Amino acid sequence: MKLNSKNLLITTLLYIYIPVAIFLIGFTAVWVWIITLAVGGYFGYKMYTEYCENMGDDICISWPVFAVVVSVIVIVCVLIGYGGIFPQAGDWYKHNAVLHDLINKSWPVYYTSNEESMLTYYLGQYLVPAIIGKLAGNLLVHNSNSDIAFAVAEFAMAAWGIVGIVLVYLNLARITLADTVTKQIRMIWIILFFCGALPVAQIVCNDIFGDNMYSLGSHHWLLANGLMLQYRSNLVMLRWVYPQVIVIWLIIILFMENKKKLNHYVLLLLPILLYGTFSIVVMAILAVGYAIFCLIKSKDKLPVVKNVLSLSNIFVALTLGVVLVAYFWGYIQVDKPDYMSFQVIDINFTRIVNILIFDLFMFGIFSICVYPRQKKSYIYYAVNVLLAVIPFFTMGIFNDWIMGTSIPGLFIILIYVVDMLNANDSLVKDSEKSKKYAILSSVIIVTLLIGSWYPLMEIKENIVAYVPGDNTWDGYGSLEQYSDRNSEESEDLIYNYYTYDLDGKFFYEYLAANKIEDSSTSGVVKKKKLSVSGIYFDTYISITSYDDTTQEILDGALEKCDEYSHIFSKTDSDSEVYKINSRQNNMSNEEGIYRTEISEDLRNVLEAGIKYGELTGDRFNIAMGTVTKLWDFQSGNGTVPEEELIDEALEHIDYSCISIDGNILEITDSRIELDLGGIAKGYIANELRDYFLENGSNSLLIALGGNIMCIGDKGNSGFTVGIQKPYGGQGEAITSIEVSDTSVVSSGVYERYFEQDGIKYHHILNPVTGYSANTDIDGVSVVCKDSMKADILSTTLLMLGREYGMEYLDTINDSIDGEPVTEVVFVSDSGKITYWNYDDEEK
Amino acid sequence: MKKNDIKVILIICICLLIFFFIWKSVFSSKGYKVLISVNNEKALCIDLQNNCNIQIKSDGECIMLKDAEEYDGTGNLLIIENGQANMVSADCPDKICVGMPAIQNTDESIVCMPNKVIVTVQ
Repeated sequence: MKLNSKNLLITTLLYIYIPVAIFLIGFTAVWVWIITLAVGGYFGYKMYTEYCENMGDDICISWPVFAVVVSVIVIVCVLIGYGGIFPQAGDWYKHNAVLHDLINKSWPVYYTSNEESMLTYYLGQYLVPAIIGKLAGNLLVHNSNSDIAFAVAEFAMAAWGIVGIVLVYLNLARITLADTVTKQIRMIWIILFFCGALPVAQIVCNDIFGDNMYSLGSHHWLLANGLMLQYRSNLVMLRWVYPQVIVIWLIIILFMENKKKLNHYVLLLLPILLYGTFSIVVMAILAVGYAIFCLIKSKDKLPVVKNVLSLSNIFVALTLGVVLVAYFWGYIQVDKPDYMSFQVIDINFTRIVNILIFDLFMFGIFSICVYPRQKKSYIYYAVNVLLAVIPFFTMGIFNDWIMGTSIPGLFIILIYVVDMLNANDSLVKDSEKSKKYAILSSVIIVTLLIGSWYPLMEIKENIVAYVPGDNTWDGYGSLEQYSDRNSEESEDLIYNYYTYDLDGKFFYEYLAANKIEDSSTSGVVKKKKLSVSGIYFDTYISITSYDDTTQEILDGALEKCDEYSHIFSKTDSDSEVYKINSRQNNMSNEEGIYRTEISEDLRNVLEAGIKYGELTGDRFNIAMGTVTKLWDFQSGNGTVPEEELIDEALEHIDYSCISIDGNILEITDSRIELDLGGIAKGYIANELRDYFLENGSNSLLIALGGNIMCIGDKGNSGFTVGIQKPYGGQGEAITSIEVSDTSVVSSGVYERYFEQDGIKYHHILNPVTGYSANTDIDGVSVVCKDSMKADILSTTLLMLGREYGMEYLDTINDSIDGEPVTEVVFVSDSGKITYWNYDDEEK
Repeated sequence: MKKNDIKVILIICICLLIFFFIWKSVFSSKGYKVLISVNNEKALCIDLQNNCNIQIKSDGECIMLKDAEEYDGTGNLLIIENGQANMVSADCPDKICVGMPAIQNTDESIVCMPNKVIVTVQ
């Protein structure tokens, strides 16, 4: 098979840039990605044509060899965990979690359940599989979150990685002119198993520094003297962190081949940012260094400067550069614990010797052996210096720094090694040069063989650990749970995946496709109405704002509700009402008279309750506690209480034995109990309205169970309040009324009831009989600006029935001061709706 | 500008158009979230596109169950499926929450009064 260099280059460029395009389209606003892709596409084409001019001859790989190479790659990848067939290494918990989140969540991925944050990670390698997973989920099961979607994405992730490794192989074969079967087969071994002579380094160190400091057999790293020395073998990288290496390797190959094309540096190197920050820092140092090297070396400086300041470099930096840097900025500059920051390690003699031995065996031998072919190359020296000094610094946690920064350097050494071995094969034998090359190549081969030991152990370890079934390492599921800087989890989890404090971050404010609270992906920030809800005093309360009321004001209202629940709740043992009702145990004197100090809120409600009791002819009674507690309308399996119990309880409901003087409550009946169920919500609704008006809010809807309070209107129309259909489904309205700036209170016999012997018993109890009040109406809604008045009257009207109720309404507005009742809706037991209107009555 | 350049620009424009339509089809999901609160405290906020079975305990702990069968009968069991959240089981006495219809649009909610559980779509 003749490998067409141009086609290979196009494929490689697509492999590098498709994830970048997906990132832009998915994560940034429409105008951002259209501009960026247009600029990138144009200069990408320019780059392609210029790279083509620079390319060597096509090479030939026979089909059988190619088949062997691909098979070896596939087998090794499957054995080290790709696709979840064999056990996956520890880091896969995050690979899989990132993949899950990309499939399941809309983009950009935001986390809201703990601290609000945005997923900020090296997403490059995950994006294509994630899109495939999303599409598969949507097409196959109409939902991107399903096991099928993840299974497809997991397969795509393995396949996409394998394609990348094959591309690395083919590109390397191309630039090192691997034109014989020996070279081609040897190269696949080097790509998969490349590693320095680590076992020898460990033996040497043990000899010098004594026993047990370097366990021979621990292939993971050389760890002693407080140093974390680990330059990973290629296999370890492919097994643990392959999303951070494959594309970087491809870009390094293109960079090495086209390093003279200074005018396309930015476009070529920027995608590395989507695969690892440490790598891009190192590549930037190499690239800038090379540009300076060119500048010094050339006689005519102007063309070099022009090349560096090319249109491509400038425009791509201003578009793609700004977007990618902005995306990672919040993640880079977050305050992290001190020990994670960039530091020089403490240096002493032992450590220096230790690092030098490490340097020698991990890459030094290779570097010495390739010297004859690279002695004039700037990159050769730069890479060796970088690899030698990296261990003297530290950043982040564990060995992140040393492993991340060594990726480009080690791969460049790998290229030199392959180049050296291939050059040796092509030399005419028996020349002076060929003898030298033969010796150096032999040293390299021996070193590589020794170095392969631990990678082979790594594969063995995985095969041994195999258990039948699914071996996907899926412990985390989602990264949602760790986005919290106050949590106890390790810094690795808390800091490595998130941008916190999103407000004010440039990417979030200006570039992101959508914001955290904005659910659509239009890119246009819509103002969303705020709402809060909660359960207090056995009532579901929800407050929705239609103006610019802030979250703090809304939360403040819920806090007030919480305070009220400590006053009015019958069940909360800390509440005032509860304490009064359970007073028998602490009567203040022997005559059975109970005195206690009460809060202003309770006094207001009790005074109003006593007043309305008189005005409603005792139909409204705040002291019915002894009766209501006999009935159980809550659980759904209540039964009718015995008659004697009710009769006995009815003797203790006379609210006239309750008197208030100032803030002192006096009760003369030792058994009487308060029940403020028919009045407290109305009082609280009034109080909440006053609270919001004081805070400048003027368009809100407050719902406390059946008690609706409207503040102002919706802006261009009133609030529509539905009237519940008796015994209908939840929220099923029989009719609705449009109101503004008033309160609507609905009571209905259908709210809480049970059936016994074919008779419905509901929670509106008649104070005279002690049983459910049966009339011709099932529900009534009262409209009145004073919600407490509406609350009391809705209960009273249910007891009066339609005819008497209407009569009563005609007189009540005249006899009670304050806000008049403006409208009442009766729903009869046959479903008939009757309206009563105050204005009509006036006429 | 060379003839070739114009060709390239045209091709890029066409690609951008294609990208735009792919983007429309892939990313146009509504992205509603489900907020679960217990005892008036936020317990969990989760994407409505997340198919999952959530056991909501009375202390506010939300446990993701792999299978609805794993529900041990304590607290409430909320199932999010096909962009809808539905309360399918609960240990409360009145079971009103279980009878409430599944929710899928903004501000719709399921309330379990005895367990003080509120599930709202945002």
